[in-house]
Amino acid sequence: MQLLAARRQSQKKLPITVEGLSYSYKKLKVFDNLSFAAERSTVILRGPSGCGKTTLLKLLSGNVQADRVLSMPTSENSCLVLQEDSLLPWLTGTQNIVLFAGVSLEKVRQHPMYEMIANFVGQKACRLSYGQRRLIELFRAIIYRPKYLYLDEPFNFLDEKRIELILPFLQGEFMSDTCLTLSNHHREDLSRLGAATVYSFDGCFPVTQLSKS
Amino acid sequence: MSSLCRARIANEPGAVSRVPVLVIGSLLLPAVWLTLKYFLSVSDRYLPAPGQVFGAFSEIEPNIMVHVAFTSFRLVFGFVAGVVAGVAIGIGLTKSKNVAALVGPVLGSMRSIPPIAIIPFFLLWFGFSEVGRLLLVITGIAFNIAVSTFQILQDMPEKHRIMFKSFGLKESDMVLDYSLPRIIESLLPTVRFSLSTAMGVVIASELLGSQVGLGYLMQTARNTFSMHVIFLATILLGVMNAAMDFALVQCWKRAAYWR
Repeated sequence: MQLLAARRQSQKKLPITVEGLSYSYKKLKVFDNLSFAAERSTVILRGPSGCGKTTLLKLLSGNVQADRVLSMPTSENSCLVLQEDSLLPWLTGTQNIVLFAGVSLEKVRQHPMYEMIANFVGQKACRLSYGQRRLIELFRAIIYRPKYLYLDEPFNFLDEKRIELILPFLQGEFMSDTCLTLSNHHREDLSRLGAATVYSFDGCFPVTQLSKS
Repeated sequence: MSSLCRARIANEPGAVSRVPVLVIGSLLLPAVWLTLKYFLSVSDRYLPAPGQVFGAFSEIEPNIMVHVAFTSFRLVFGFVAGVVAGVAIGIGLTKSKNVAALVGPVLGSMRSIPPIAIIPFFLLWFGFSEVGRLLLVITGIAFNIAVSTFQILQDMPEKHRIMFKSFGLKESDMVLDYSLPRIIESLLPTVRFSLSTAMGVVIASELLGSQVGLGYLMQTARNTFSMHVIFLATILLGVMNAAMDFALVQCWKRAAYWR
């Protein structure tokens, strides 16, 4: 009981706490008894392609079941945005946002980030560029305000200028009730995300620990 | 498709050379016919002359176009109703796992029965009525369409599954915004196959109990040994099927414009 209470206490303090996570994919052991605890509500997972970042995000968001885990954030009210474009191509950007995030059109238009997508959000998603679709997906996830937001390579297809414009929306008041975990393999300078805990993968399976940097 | 894309495709070297190939392909069967008839002198009993076949246009009473119109109506109406019914059943199955488990085996066994084999039932139930013929076409294709629709919706891409879970939504609650477009983008091969099946069922139903239609015409021509009329009806069936298939593919491409 004491242990349970201590864990609950620690979960309150540490937004992302993972303990004893093991997961295998087709006999390949990906994670073996992995544990980490981030002291901040923003976590950056860094590592080369294929090191298991996306798999870890899928596990954390409850989209893949772990073989064994002692403690992990709840998958309820968690939102995972994959690096693969998932907007429905037959709907407009606006319809993709309103239908899925469940917010009114008025609320969408009032959001400070709306300016970034206003010029093209009314078009069908199939007619938009990868970068435009990426922006709409990020906007949708930000306006949805889940408790846990997982972004897999969120800055793919975006130029440096757009990334700089988005970063303020991934912190501060926009993420006040949200624990943000994002994976990133190419962008070194995410210093503007400020109070973030950065973990690096060592790149070989099974992953038993993440290096904190 | 944008005009730029069309222009690009038209400028491809392969696109220009395809036209003569298409013409040669279309003329291949008539060429075989003429060769067999005039160079190898196959008898009229087995192979009528082209002049004789096309002369049958003016011989037949009522006009052959009346037969074509009736067959086309039965085909189009039965086919459209069958596709709509099949898609509706397929979507209905995805609404509940229990219903899918309950109805799945019945659907699986029903679709394996050749539509021709159930004609006697329909003759006994509906006689020679038009309703029976249309229901036969609908039954002949709806089960396959339903199973295919169900499978398409079951095989949801992982990115969509994750998206629905992320936003706490169910795909089965978004029939117009999700299920129908997903069906449209993947169902074309089954629908094209069903068109051929529907054509076969319409002709079979006309062969067995009808007073008008190309199937009826073939049946009466068989009784009078009019090989040239059978040939004409067969050619018209081929043209009808090709034209409908072409129209179907074009309409489908427009409907699934995002592909």
